[in-house]
Amino acid sequence: MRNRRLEVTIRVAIAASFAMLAAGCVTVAAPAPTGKLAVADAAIADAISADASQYDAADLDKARRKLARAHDEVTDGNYRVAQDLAEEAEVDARLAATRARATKSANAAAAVQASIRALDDEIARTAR
Amino acid sequence: MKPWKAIGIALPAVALGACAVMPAHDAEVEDARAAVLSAQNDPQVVSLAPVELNKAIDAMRRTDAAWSNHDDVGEIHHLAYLAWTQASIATQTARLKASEASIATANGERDRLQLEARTREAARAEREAALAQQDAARAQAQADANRANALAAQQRAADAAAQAQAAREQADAARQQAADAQAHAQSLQSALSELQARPTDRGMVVTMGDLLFDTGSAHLNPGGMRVVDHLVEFMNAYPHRRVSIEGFTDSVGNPASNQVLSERRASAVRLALIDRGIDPARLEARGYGEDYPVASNTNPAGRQMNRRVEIVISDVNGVIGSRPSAPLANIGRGPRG
Repeated sequence: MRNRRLEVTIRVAIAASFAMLAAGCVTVAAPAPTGKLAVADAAIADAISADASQYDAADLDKARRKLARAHDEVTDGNYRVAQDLAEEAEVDARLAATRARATKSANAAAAVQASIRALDDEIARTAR
Repeated sequence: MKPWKAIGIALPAVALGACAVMPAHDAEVEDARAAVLSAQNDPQVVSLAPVELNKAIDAMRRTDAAWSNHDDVGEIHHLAYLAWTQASIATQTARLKASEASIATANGERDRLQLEARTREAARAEREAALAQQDAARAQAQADANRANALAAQQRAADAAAQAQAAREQADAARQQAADAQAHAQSLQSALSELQARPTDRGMVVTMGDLLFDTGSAHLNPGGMRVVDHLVEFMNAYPHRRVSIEGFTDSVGNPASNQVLSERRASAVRLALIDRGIDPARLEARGYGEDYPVASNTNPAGRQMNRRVEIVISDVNGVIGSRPSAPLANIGRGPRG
């Protein structure tokens, strides 16, 4: 009986050890940064829709390259690196989108100002 | 992480050593800090992109925390990169918002100007319309004046035509009058020739011979009455003419009775004329007896010529020439038979 109880105890201990080991493993290894990748992907799509390929191709390319590398790192199991790359790809894409929008907006503002000047001229002409 | 932390806690000296080994200023961290500070000091970013700026500041704080924690350099650089990029995003966001605001303002300004331009355009159109109206009114007035001128010219032409017509009519009337006058003169002439009138210094004279009276009497016979009728006709046709009726005898017999006979014969003719409606005021009658013989009293033919009544016709004004004051008393007067 004693032996049997010991055996049970050992078994429990082993099981617990495995469980603890498994738990430890989960705790130590970072999960795949699926959310970050999705966010970066959406940011790039947004930048493309903002015509970043025309107005800020450098930042958009940077974002794309980093996202591609992030996917590679996920494949290699380097989740931590993949997450950092995904985060950087996201801000690069956001910068590209914002810069593209700002540039287009500045152009539009200049166009409006030009039309105002034209109107001013026309009014000055008709006032004579 | 935990094992790394545990070691850090267990071996502070090692950690301190690491700290000392790491550079006090990491270039990438400081670049990020400069970018974030620059954004923070930009009032446009502060006011227009507060959310993105806060993200940048937060990212910088995490970088600094990682730095303080002596985290892995790669991790610190990653966080610094995020901070730097976030600062750029904040700056670009502010730029975007600023130009959007300027577009909104400019659109308002453009709308205002367009309204002004339209208003001016409308005012100008109104002015031009008013000018066009004035022009039209002027043209209308000109046209009216032209019409009035044309009418006046037409009127003048009509007047001239009427004048010409009147002149023509006057000329016609004058011609007619002349023709009338001529006809009148001719009819006068023919009436007088009917009466066998002859011109003398005193005017036309009709002589009624002795044969027109009953012998030795003042009574007109039918031949005398015919002459009287002719005379009435004439006097009715020429109402302005008057006549002087003068009786004469030959020298046979008593001069006083001859005077009476001459007066009675003249009077008989006058009465016959009055009897046929001639105004007595147009008639004078007197007798001259034996005076003013027209032929010799020495033979019967001459005496017959002297027994007569002369009717002297006035001019158109009713004036009768007077008989010469000295009677040709004894022309051809023979010795009293």
